[in-house]
Amino acid sequence: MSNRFQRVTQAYRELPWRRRVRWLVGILAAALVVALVFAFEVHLSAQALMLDYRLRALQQQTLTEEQDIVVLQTRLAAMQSVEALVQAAEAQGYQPVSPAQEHFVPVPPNALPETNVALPQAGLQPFAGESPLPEAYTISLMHWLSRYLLLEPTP
Amino acid sequence: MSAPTVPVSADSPRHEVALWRYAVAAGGVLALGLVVVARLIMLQTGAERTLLARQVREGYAESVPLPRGLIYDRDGHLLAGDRPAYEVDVRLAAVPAEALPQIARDLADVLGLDEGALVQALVNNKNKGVAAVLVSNRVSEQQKALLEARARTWRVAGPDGKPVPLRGALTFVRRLVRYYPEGDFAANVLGFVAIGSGDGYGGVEQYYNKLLKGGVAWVHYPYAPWQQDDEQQPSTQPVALYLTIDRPLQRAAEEEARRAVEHTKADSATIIVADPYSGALLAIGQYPRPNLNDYRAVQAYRKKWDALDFAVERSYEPGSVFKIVTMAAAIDAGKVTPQTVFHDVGTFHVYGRTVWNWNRGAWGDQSMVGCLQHSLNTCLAWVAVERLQKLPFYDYLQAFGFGRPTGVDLGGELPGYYRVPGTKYWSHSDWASQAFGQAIDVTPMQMVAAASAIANGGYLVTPHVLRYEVVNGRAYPYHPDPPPQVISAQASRTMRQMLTESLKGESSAALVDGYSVAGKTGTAEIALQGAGYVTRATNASFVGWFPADKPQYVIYVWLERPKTSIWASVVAAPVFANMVQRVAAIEHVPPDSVRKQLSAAEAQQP
Repeated sequence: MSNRFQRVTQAYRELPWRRRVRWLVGILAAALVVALVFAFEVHLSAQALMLDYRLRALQQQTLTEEQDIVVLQTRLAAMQSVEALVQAAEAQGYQPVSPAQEHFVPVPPNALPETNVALPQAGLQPFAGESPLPEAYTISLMHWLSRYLLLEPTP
Repeated sequence: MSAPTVPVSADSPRHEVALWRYAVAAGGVLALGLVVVARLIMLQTGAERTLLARQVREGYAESVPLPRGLIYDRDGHLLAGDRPAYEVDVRLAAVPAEALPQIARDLADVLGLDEGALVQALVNNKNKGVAAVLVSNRVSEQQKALLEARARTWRVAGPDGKPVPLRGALTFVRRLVRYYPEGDFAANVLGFVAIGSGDGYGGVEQYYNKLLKGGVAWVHYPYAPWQQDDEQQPSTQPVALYLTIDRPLQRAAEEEARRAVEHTKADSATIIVADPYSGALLAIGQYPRPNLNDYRAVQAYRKKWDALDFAVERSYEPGSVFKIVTMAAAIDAGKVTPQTVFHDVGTFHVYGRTVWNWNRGAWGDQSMVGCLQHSLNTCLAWVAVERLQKLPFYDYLQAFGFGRPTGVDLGGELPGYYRVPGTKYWSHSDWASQAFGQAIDVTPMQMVAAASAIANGGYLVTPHVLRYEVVNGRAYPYHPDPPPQVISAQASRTMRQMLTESLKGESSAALVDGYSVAGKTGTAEIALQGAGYVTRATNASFVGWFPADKPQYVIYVWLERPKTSIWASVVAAPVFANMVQRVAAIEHVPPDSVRKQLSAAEAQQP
């Protein structure tokens, strides 16, 4: 064992000084790179943790504001309660109506204006035929290549 | 041009200078590397490592107060919400003993507590070395502000004997508690929330307690960012329940119930309005009812009545309103028709028991419509015993849902009760009595379900108050099971006509100008302890619907022990008529003449 150690130290002593320094710097640089990588990992973890904390603080704030919304909704409902509304209506002179006071006017169906419903009418299926998307979003890559590289005429 | 290179031997002075510089640079790099490595080793193995490992493993937990779910009516009016309440503690560790009387005086004054007992409790706990004492957990925002103002005036002797402000004697912890913005409105439908457990009791609060319950959630926050995704964060958005209850109709039902109690001196009144086709409960008016924001009043109310929602938590012998069930069963089974004649001699004998009519009179030959019109006990007992027979009769009772809960989504529903053949105490007398609504306990909700089936073509729909629920921003509509058909559509049509004719025939007080109504009164004597059935105490009921030919609203009225008259035709039928008028006005139901014109016009439309 001691002979081997002596051989290694002897060999090192006999190396040209440039090679010795190069080895030394190389090893140190490698160690430094490894250490920096680990340090960078630690730094990133710490940054992520801090961001996580900030995120939770925002979540807490959201929660508090949601609770405040519930409380305000409840206050608003109390102000618009049946009793409050009835008192307000009576104060303005409104009285409950009986069916005898209501007037129903029968309207013949043909006198009604035509309904203008936003829904598609029967028989019109907007997505059954052509796609509403531009062709560029639906064409396949192979088709595009064959059309534009082989200079096919565009429709 | 490059500089000329000069060979330098290892022993030259220039070489020594270069080596020295390299050594310094290498030493610097080595030192920096050693510092980085040493810091890493400390982080991984030292105190920081231990702390980090524990935090990563355990994280930390934080209490998140979650609001209890909100309850709205069908149009989005908030019926049950939350408001902040504070828990106030006295930090005895921070308070000298001589300041306790002053603190107790102010606390007792603001919170309405017994000052003597409070001083005693504070002093005792201080002597025991207790650090803090909870004084109240329902302190309002106004009370909190008052207490904070008082606390700013508290002084204790400083080190030099001069008075100094007493800081930190009280701590306030904010949390949300249930609040009902409408007070007693729909109190029987909503139920209430216990202060201690936070659980709902009665009504919607009880039935949907698991869904609604907010309380405090302990949320575990891991320190390690890479564990964040594995953690399930609780939803902070409260659940929202939208009920089928219609606020104007509910208000009308409650007002009519109050007026009925005041006019008839009844003990209580219950009025239910339901959609017979869907089973949606539009109103469940009840009088009296407690203010849900007064917890002590709610407890006293429950102690007195042993129930909060009379429609489901109380059962009673319904009396003659039950005759519509017996008649519907016999019509459906084909055992009688509206024209079937019963010869009434005033009594009907069943296996040794004699059944009498309500006035002990004999009405001679009566059709089935006449039997309903005059509410003949003898006739209905005859229909059940001699026409329908035993097993079919009980099969129909079972099919109509009697003796078991309807499944309505309100807490504390009773199943009702009646004796059936083959059980220990059943007798033939029960059979005959049950045919006209005695010897059977039903809840008003069961009667509403049965009447809805008779009105809607024979389908036993499940009564319900939930329209849809919103959980995590998604709405889930109420989806009942398909209702079973208990009688045929033809039998249903026949019953609608019979009950319309019978009301017209007796010129009932339930009739309303312009609107056709169908229904039946019921006056049931109440069996008193030790005295049996007595006529001075009755349950007066009315069940009916309108419009009679196309039922849109089933209305049930129950007056408990009316005093001005014991008869339902006198006290309950007018309440039904009032409700019909109010429902028609609120819901804009056109009179029959207008409705028929519209129907005719629609029929002519190509």
